[in-house]
Amino acid sequence: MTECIQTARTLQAGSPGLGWCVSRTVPNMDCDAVKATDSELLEQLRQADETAFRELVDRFDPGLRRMACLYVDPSVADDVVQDTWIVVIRGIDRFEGRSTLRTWVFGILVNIARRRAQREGRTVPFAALASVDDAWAGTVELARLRHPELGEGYWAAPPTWARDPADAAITAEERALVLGAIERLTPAQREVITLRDLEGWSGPEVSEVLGISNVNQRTLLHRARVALRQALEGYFNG
Amino acid sequence: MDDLDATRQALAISCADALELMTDHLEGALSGADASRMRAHLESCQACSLFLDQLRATIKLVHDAGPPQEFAVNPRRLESLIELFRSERDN
Repeated sequence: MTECIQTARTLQAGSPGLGWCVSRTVPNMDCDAVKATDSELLEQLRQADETAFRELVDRFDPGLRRMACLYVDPSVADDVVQDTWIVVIRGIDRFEGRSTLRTWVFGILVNIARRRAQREGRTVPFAALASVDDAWAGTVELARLRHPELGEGYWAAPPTWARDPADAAITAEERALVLGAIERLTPAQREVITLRDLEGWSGPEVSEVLGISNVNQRTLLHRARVALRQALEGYFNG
Repeated sequence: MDDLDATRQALAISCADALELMTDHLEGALSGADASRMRAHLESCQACSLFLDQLRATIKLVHDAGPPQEFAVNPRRLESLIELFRSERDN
């Protein structure tokens, strides 16, 4: 996935001016507001408005490509995204507006990408099965939770970091560390944390697109964040 | 009640339990009783408060490592999609 994100960064360098508003603007909008914007856009699409279609592609295509890279090789991601758009174009009249346009479009991509990945024999992130399969030893090692007086289950010593990232801008080394740690997560954890914390989606949206319960989504998110915190602890205390 | 019992009582739940609830706490997903116990624990437990701050810092770093602000849509791909869109809407 790092490769894919890097590819994305390389591509964007020479292509200023195209709109990118997949994640960080929409989740902050009220759900009803999103649906109102959606229904306006949908109406234009149904009336064969090509400008509206271009807007839709501009809005979602970058995120779709990044999402596809969670499942398939970057060289195949374009095909998966293209197939997604074809299904979207042919399905516009069938979209009933029960979900947002974004979760509908990305849900289509997830189905296509999973099938393609299976065909190519890749490990497919499948969050729906994950909480059953993942072994979980707890948020921190038990050995760190043995207070000399309070006993088991209480911190023996506070989990201090020698360096505090505080509000400083992320360094190139920290970025590489974070992306590397995401790549080492279980596929299902990677799927959830990428959408939640990297792309900035809301919990209910992620649950809907991945077809998992909110509880499962939060469990996977917790485990992923804990693993990343652990990686950062090693780095800051190293 | 000795001092240790009083400390445990002030903490409301163990650190091990509080740690498992951190993400639910951040997501506002805890029930009323669990949310109060979590708040009480965090008020009394410096180590768990520190852990929670580190979890927040982690989330921020992941966010900051996140996707680029712009990304090119391949023009050839876009044109072929527009063509398909046009022909599908014509039908």
